[in-house]
Amino acid sequence: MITRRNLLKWSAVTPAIIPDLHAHLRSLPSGVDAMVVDSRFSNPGLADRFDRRVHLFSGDVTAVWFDVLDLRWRQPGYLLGGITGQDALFVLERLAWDRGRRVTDRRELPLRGSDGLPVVQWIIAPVHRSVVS
Amino acid sequence: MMRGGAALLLLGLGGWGAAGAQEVLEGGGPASQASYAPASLDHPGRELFERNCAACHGAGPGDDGAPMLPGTAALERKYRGQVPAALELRGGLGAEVIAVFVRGGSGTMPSFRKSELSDAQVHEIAAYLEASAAAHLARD
Amino acid sequence: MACRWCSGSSPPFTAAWCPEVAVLPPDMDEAGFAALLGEFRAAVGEEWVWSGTADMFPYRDSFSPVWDTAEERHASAAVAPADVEQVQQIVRIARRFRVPLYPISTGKNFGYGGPSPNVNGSVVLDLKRLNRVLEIDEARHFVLVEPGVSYFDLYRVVQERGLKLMVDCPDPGWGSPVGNSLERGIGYTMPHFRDHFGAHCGMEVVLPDGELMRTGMGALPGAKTWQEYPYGFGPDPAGLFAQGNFGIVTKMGFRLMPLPEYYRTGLITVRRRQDFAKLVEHVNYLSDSGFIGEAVYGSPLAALMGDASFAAVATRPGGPADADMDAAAEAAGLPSWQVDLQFFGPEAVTSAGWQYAKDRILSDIPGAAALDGDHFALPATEDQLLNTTQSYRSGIRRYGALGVPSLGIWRIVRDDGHVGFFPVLPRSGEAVFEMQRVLGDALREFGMNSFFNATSAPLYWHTFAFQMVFAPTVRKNDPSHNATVHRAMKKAVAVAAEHGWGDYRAAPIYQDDVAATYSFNNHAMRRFHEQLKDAIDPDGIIAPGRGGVWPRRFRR
Repeated sequence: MITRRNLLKWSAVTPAIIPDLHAHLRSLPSGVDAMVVDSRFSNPGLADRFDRRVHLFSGDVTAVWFDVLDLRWRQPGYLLGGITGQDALFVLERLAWDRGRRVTDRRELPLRGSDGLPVVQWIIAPVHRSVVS
Repeated sequence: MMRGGAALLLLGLGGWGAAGAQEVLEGGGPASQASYAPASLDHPGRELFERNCAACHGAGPGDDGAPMLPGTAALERKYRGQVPAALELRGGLGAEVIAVFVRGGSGTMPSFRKSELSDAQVHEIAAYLEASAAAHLARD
Repeated sequence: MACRWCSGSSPPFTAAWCPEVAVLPPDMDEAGFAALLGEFRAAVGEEWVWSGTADMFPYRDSFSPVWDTAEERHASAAVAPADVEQVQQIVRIARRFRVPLYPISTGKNFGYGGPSPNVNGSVVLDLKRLNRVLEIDEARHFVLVEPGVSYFDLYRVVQERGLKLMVDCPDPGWGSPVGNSLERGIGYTMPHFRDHFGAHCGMEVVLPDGELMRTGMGALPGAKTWQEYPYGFGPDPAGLFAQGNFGIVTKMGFRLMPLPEYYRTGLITVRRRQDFAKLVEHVNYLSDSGFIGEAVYGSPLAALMGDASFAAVATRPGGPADADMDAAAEAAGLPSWQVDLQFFGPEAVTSAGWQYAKDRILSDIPGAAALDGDHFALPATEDQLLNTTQSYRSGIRRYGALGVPSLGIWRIVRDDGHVGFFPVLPRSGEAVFEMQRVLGDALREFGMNSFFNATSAPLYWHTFAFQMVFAPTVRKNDPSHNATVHRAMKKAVAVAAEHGWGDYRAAPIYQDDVAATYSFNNHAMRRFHEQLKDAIDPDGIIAPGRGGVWPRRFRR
């Protein structure tokens, strides 16, 4: 549980935190097969409470895309949710287009990263016939 | 007999035939003809000879252990010591004879166009060769 | 039509384009377009043909400085064939309908127009589905790929098969070896591999009449050296397909570097501003002699640009005074210039190479210093790739330096992206200082002297030339900012050309400006290309305008 004191302390050392990450995670549609979470915007301690379907990265999507998403996106199906910086979503969105998928839900969250970077909650779903299961 | 490696080396050059490869390996005249010191004559034809002819017809050994440069070696094979193989020692050729070889080539020697060596320049080279041969005779 | 754009008093769009109305190919009406799409669908399958604003959004230039203005280029449709035969079919259909095609491989050419065409209404020929690594040889060090293969895909194959080969990747690595090399893009390893087009060997091309051609040794059926001997026989047309519009490349070979055993880094610093000239000469020698990978230059004095009085010195009109720069360096206790050197090879060779470089440079430049950097056996571990242990501030991006594709470069992207102008200049200190001064002064009116000031360092990407960076950002919601950037780009291209510095690569919206600077003898080269274009592609259906080459039909 994040206390107000924690909030003040952490806001001094991290670019931004999501006060209630779990609330945001709960508000995502059910049926999501996996999630990617940008740890630039989360309390570091929350990592322990994620299960194996949640993939953390810090700004750079390379590893999570190359090791997980690129392989899953070549097969049909797979609904992906995420809470990331807008910069990371830009990259993932274009990689998703290459595999017949689209961002079907996109919501800016009420906080900002460093340099005013928007933080976005989103869903990427298969839309092209070749990858819809 | 032809040694395979050397044959390949020579075939890499334009125009060398198999016979030429064999003879270069086996050739070699008297040491004095292969390694003479050209008399340092102050002659207008000398620079022309050095620039256009000496690479094949000059003094000194050839590449990679060959005892003579290719032009000198070819003339050594042809004359077998009857006349000096090195043109700078030979004498008695004259501009008309030199021009025949320069303009027509000979065997593996290429010909030289007038845009490369004018008639006047060929004359200068011939004159230099006479003077050079005479200077060497005088020395010896 | 009343809509959110045109309901105001001054609609922002001309009749050329409106986001509410799907764009059509040139000289074609709705009925013709429908017939065209029908034929495309019959050739490749319904699900691989797209049109309409929503489906065509991914084919807009995300980094466009003219986003949502009349100057933005829009494709009318996109087609994604599955194989070479379908590519040929599409070309034949396009020829019958006289519709311009715009071939893309992975469509990731950000900063240079991305997937957007030169001509409004073109149909994008999306080659992403041609994505096979056709052949890869570990003993003779080459690969043959299709255009839809990305650097990540190629790297994955190398890893999965445990091949001891290094892939020279650009940054980011999601582009295509075919697409990137045809744009004359670059990487970060050894000199002859950094030049991606230079490292290509053999290609297969679909010509504007739908015929298939192979270049180099590929023109000899059953050739055994297509990816090894680049030239074949007779004139070599391969160069026509790079930044050109003479055909669609469907296969391309590349030379690959054998994976080196060891990697070593070191840093050289020099004290005074003018020491840079000798430093560059020494690095030129090391690079041209084959001893080093990419040398990465930087000025530690760039860190002082936040100080107003230093910034004034570094951006002084007409260039800085050396004495002022040296005094500032001295006061800050910083060297004026540094260069990261990289060595590849057996451990002993990298050690000897670095020792030689240090000895050579330090003995010739008083006050020069050297710092030994990270060194380790290859392949690198994840930690080593993360480049967190270097004891000094290094300019190297280690993923790229070690041939591992990455998307991490995205951390430098600001706003809504940027446009790129990387003028080519000689590898000399004098040339670098001249460009700093000339382009710094030329761009002063736009307030963009962060790019060209006395601390701006050259990029040593291409094998024998420097380039410098002009990459202003774009902002989708700030048309006035974008308009300034657009003007600045055009001015930079013009001023650079006046000083003998040509651009190497440009977005479609700048290609005509850049091509016009290559004007020797009344644009003889462009006129030559136009003759070829009219002969080879009389209907102008392959990427008209690409590289500044316009077919007769579209020439003004």
